[in-house]
Order: sequence, then structure tokens, then C-alpha cells
Amino acid sequence: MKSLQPTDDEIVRLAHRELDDYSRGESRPIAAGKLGNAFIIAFCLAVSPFAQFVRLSKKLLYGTQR
Amino acid sequence: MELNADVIVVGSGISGAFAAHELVSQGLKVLMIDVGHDDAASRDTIPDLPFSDIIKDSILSRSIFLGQDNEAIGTRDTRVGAQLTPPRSFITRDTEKFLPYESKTFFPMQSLALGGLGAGWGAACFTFDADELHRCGIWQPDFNTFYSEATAIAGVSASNEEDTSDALDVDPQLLQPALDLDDNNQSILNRYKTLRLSARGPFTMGRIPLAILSRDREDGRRANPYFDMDFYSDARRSIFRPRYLVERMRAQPNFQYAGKQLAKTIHDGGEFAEIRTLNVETGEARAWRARKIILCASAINTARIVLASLGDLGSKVPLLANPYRYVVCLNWDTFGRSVADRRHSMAQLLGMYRPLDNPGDLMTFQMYSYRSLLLFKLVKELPLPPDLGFLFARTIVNSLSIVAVWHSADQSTLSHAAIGHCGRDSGVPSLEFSHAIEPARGKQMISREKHLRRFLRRLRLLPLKTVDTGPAGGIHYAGTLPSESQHFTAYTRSTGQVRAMPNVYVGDSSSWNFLPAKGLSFTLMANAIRIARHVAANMKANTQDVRTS
Repeated sequence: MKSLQPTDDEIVRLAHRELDDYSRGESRPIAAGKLGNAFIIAFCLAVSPFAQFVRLSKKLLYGTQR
Repeated sequence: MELNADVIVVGSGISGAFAAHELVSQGLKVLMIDVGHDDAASRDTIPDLPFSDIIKDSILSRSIFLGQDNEAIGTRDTRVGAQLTPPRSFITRDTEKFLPYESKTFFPMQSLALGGLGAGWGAACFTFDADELHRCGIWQPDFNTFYSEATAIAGVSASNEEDTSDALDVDPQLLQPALDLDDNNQSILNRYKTLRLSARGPFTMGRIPLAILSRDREDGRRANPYFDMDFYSDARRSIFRPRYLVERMRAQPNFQYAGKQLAKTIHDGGEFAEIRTLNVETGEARAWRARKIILCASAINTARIVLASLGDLGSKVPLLANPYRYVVCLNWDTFGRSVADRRHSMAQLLGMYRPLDNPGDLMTFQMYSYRSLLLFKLVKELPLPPDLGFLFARTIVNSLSIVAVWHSADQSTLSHAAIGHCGRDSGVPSLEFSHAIEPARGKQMISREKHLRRFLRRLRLLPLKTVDTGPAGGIHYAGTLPSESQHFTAYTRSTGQVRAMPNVYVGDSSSWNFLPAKGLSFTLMANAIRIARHVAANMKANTQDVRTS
């Protein structure tokens, strides 16, 4: 699973995106109630295998710069 | 014989600052030898505003939170040193070059900064009880008076009405009121009190004593503003840092500060002691002389200086480090709820575990909230693609609780340090470390952490992950020049005096034979006052003897 973890470049991109989103008021913590937040977590976990598959395919096709 | 001072103090960390402060207040002429890296310029550019305001300015927040060269992002593991944010990166600057070591098992954090590792101290204050002091090798019946003096100098906020109040045994009148809890930690403490868990087992919890001001002081330091910026700046000086004492002493005529000086070796000349230094900028070598020297260069570097001075190559000295892990938990009570931004960034709750069959063998834990260290660091640790990980992190960050767990450390034949070859760049001898935990002790720690996770679940804290930071991850080191341990070639007397060097003393944790599962910094302060007072009394007695004779 190591190859599926974010690369350094992706982490840099993510960190900058986080700060940009904050300046637009979009990175705030989500407080949608217990049910709402649990739903988002369930969504992340459910979609994750598919997203991992897409990521892995891209990595195999285009290589990585890790 | 021309002397530079009555006493030379090596290092400006917590021990060095307190030892020097005591000597200066006794009227002795004191010289502090220190490298003293600092980052005042960066510190002054950070506005005195809440995290939630600063983060809205994407240009300003980039330089503060990520650094000019994205150094906060880096490639290194986030397990240790996450608190070394860009404005605090000076704390470990140049240590690889000037404080070399070799090890496959032990990777200590070292510092050449003004204030040493104390520049990034988490500010938790504990007093060691009589048994713990005895095991450390500190023999002083009235040691609590030194804790009281340290309290008055540093400024400590604590409540004496907590179930954990015995963690700080000082006169309550010296304390400022405890700091406020944030929503997350308040909900945890409420649950603990509602369930009356203290009456049902070996765990107790309460607000943690901190060297953080909750009220303004007359010396110009002000109360913590709950801006959650404590890992980046502290314009109000609410958290005690050793450099405040150094600054205050520099205004005194009997104090001199020699910066950029790396202490290498010492020589005891009978009537005086000499220390040889290297200027880290110019490479110039220099010798300084005084009647006494107090080494406060941290347990690792004080040992390096003494062993190199004794020419003691190859022989092993003990190495103590508190085992430290942290448990990432989800607080079910605040999950999905919005919480107030008002908080400080340091530990807020203290927990203590006293096994029923051996109450003296303590395990402690401290609870932090998580926000200002940013979400991308969490995403790095999640087994999810980055965008999903980011969404996931935003849903849990309000209710995240980081539970830092500490175990005690004893001398062990499996853990030691020795002097090795000289570093190529600096000519400073390298240290070789080997560290391992006795298997039986390791099993005991795992068993205790299992009890802890059960306890956390009763508080509605769901443990998500336990992270082992490695044997040096706790950043609490001691025992390299053990007290009254004559089976080692390098050891100290209970007064801090170094064997075979009657004019040289150790004022830091090098001389401790034991590390309780408590933060050591507050005891470093008290012990440095003790050692300095002994040195001052000894010098005055010698002067009187000379006059009499």
C-alpha cells in the first residue's frame, strides 16, 4: 500500500490547497452532526478502493516521481 | 591567573538559565558559554492574532505555516518533531554538523538554540515525589523549596482541586489559576467526572499544570490569549522560555553571555577550571577560565564534553529516555459538532495510571486537541488517496484528541552511549548510542496501554491508531553521568560534582539515575537551582577559609 500513499509533490500541493481553501473559507472543519460526518467518512471509505485503483492505474501508466 | 568569571555555565537551556540566574542573584560573576541560535527576526513578523484569522490570509499563512521553502512539509516523518514548525526550526539548526552521533536505534533531538530544547518545551510541570527523587539520585530533604522558587520564576498555572493535583506538589498560593479547557477537552473531563471513574480504578484525570500564564504578570509577560498559535509564536511571552531569563540576566553587570561558542573539552587545573570552545562561525578555538564550571549542555552533550575531556574512549555510560507513544482518538461527544476556536495548543488534560499492585510505578498521559498543525499532516498518515484523506480529516479534526503516553525509564544494560571518532567538520567527537527496552518491560508497557485504551473508550474516546515514536521520541534524556555509580568510569557525586574534576559540576539531567513517567523540565529548573546554590556556598566557604588561614 506504500505506493498508494501521497507522494511528496502531492503533499505539497495539498498543503497549499489547504491554505488557499482556508482563505476562501472552504477548509473549515466539517460539523454536519454525528450522522452527517459519519456519512462523509463512510463515503470516503467506500469510494477509497475505487479511487486507489484509479491512482494505481495512473501511477502504472505515467510513473511516479516519489 | 586571569579568570573570565567566578563560574562558567555551559548552555542556555532550562538548567543553564536557572543555574546562572541563581548564581547571578548571589552576586557571583557568571559567564554563559552557548551557541545560541535564535530566530528573533521571524518571530517578530508573526502577528499577535488567532490562528483562525491568520489562516485566512493565504500569503501570510504560507510563510508562517509552511515556511519560505515549504520546510514544514518536508519529507520527514511526522511522528517526532511535528511541533518544530518553521518559526521554531532554529531549535535543531546545525546539530547534525556540530553534535554528531551514530546509532541504528536511537535518534535523539538535540539543540544549539538559545534556550536549548526548552525553546520548544511543552510547558507541562510536574514535581517528583521523595521516592522518585531518591531513585534519581537527588538527596535533598528540602528539595520542595527549589520547586517553589522555580514556580515563582517560571509562572505556573494549575488548579489544586483536580484528581491529579499530586502531580504538582507546590504551595497553591504560588500558582496562577488553571487555564481554560477547549470544548473537546472539557467534554472529556465532564465525562470522567460524571462516571466518577477515579473511584473505580487506577486512572485519575484533571487539568494539567503548565508554565503558561493565565494572568498578566508585573514582569511584562502576559496571559495566554487562547489563539492556538503556540507552536508558531508567543508575542505575549505567556509560555515560559529560558531565553527570558537570559535576557533579564544580560542587563546585570555580573553576567556575561558568550554566543556562537561550542563547548568541546574541559580541564580541571586544581584552583580553576578551563573550558575550550569552538566558534561555530569563525572556527576560532578559545579557552575560558573560571573557579567553577557548571555543565548544562543536556544529558547527551554534557556527557560528550566530560567523556572527551577524560579521554574516555570506548567505555560505555548509561542512557535513559522515557518511552513515549501517542494514541490518536476520536472524541464521540464532539464528533460532528462545531467547537470554539478559542484554545491554547499545549496539553490540556493530564491522566495518571497507578497500578493497584505497585502505585509508585506510574504511567502518565497528556491530552491535546489538534488544529493549528494543519490537516495535510494528518492526510500523510491516512491510508486514503489525498483528496479523500483531506475530506476525511476535515470531518474528524474537531473531535481529534491526541493522547501522549509516557512510561518511566530505568538504567538498563541494553541502553548505553560511548564516545566515538571525531566529526570531520567540527572536530567534535561523535557519540555512539545503543538503545533497547528490556522484553519484560516492553510487555508491561503494552499491557498498560491496553488498559489505557479501555479507559479511553469509557470516556467515549475511540482509539484510531497508536504511534510508537521510537526510543528517543519523547525527547527526555538522562543518566549519562550517573550519580554515585562508581562502577562507571564517568560519574557524578550527589552534589553534581564530576568525578576526578572537583571544579566541574553537572546541572542538567546527566546525573539522574531514573526518569519517572513525568516531564522532567520543572525538576531540571529546581535541580539547577540546587546545584548552583551548592556551588555558590562551596565557593564562599573556600573564600572564607582562605581569609581565615
